[in-house]
Amino acid sequence: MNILTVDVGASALDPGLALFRLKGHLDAQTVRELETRFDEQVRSSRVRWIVDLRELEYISSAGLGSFVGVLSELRAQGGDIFFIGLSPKMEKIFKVLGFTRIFKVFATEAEAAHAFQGA
Amino acid sequence: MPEAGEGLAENSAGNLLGQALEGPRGLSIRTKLAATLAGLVILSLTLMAAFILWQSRQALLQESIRRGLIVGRNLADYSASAVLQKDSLQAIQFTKDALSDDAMVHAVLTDENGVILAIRAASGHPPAEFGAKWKPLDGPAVHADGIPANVQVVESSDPETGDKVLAFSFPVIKADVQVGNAYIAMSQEKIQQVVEDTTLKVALLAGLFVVLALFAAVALAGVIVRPVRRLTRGALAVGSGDLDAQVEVRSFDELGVLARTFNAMTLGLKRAQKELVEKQLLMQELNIAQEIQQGLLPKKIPVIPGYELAAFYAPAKEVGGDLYDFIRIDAQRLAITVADVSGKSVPGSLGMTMARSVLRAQALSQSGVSETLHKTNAVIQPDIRRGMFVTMFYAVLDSKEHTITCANAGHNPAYVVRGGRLIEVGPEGIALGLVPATQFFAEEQVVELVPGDLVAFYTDGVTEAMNAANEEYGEERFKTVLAAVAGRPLGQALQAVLDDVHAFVAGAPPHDDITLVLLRRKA
Repeated sequence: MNILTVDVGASALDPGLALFRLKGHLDAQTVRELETRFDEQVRSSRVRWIVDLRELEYISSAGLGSFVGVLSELRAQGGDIFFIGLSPKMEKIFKVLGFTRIFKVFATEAEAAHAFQGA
Repeated sequence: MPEAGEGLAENSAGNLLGQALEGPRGLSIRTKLAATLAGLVILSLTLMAAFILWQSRQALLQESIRRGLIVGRNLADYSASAVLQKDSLQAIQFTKDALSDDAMVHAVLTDENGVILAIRAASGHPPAEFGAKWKPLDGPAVHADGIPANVQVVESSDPETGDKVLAFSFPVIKADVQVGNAYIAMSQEKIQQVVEDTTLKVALLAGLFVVLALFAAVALAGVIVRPVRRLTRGALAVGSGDLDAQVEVRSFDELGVLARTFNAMTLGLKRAQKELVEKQLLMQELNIAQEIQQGLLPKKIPVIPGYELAAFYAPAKEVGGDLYDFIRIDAQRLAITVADVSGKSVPGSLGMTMARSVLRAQALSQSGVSETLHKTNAVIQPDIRRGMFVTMFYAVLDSKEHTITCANAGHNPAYVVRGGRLIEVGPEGIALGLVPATQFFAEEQVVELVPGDLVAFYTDGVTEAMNAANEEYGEERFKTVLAAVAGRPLGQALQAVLDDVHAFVAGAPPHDDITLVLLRRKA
């Protein structure tokens, strides 16, 4: 049984930003946990997210789909998802799927937070 | 006939429940406890009373004998001279003194021939006349410590009133010669009275204790029976299918433990049942999904002059969602596609069904390769389940021009193996369903095929196949094995690649579908 831990909190750089830290395996099973946390943030009207994948070991297509699933809702409310901490392998997956054309990817939380401030 | 069988099973279960509902047969625990406790109380009180009575009776008897001995001894000693001289007047005085003890019934002095010298009764009516022959009272002899050998003590009754008495006879001795006898009789009424009083008190006490014991038994039975009844109700509820039934537990004794065990059992049953139902549902869903999936795959491999085709598809147990397809566009063009849907199970299969149908329709509309993916995305994107997407490699082979025109919607690249070297064919594009038509794009790439070229289309189930140590098979291994087997007959080449994947995975259960399609331009 693969495990995913999702740690959600306000970004230290900007309390208006939600910072998701994912750890472990994000697959068709564990994605439910993540989607629950998505709903919590959307309900509390926090729609600008930074998702840190640095400690994520594996991401399945269902896991990737969950970000696409929530994206239109966030953007409709002026929010977005910026990714940070992608491994070279994940970068490749993002590129192959065309995710890099949908999501912005940054190297650090500071860069992502800065991009949100500019937006 | 399964319905009849089930009906029978239900009936017998119903009967059992019905029997349980009737309650206990025969004596209830309450009655049994009450009877046992009452019996025990009565038995112990009776034994105790008997013992106490016997003890007090013995003590009183001893006391009577002691007093009798003193009175009788005094009478015999003091009257010795008077008896020797047959002085009745003096003798009477001694008998009168003897009667000063209030338990005394009568006192008699006789000469050595048993002729009465003096007789006196407490009642004033002596049982015999002066000068008559005294008939000593008869009865069972009493043996007790302290009775001298020449003194007889018997239990008898007062010839006048019939009351129980202790009769003593003493020798009257003067100068070592027996000159007569002294007889006294002591009433035992006192003893009798005490015995009767004690018996009555004990009986009253016993009655009181029996009543108390009965109350205690009923209360105790209640304490025991109440949790048992609760357990019975709980068991009935569980029996009739309510697995949420829990028994309230307050005590920590054996019944408390039983109730807690019962609750744990019910929870366990519920969990087990839930898991079973979920598992069955999942299995059912997976079966449906696989059926849909299998139905999507081509029934046979098309035959193209100058070309060979081979395809392999193996569903994973849980995830699923791969597809390969061949669409004959016209006499010289064949579309080849491999695709992977992000969802699993039934929703995934339905998403794929939609993508396949739309693609087939678009492919036949003589559109360009990139345009076909564009149109497919435009149709499915608004309808596909949120967060679900389909990656698709779409290639059109022109068997006259010897080209493949490829477009790629977020899928793994294809590889062309030519003379032992690999050419990656991976035009950029976005997976189908992710973005609306305005944002969608899929580049197009044309590759010319020379005789002997091998083209491999696959899904990530191949390259991401994992062994037990969670290591991926990986693209490098895949590319190496492709280059190595490219010269073999196509079927063997396909098998060799799969064997290599299987050898790497070494029995670990597949976590994704595996799809591999090989195309070769004949040499």
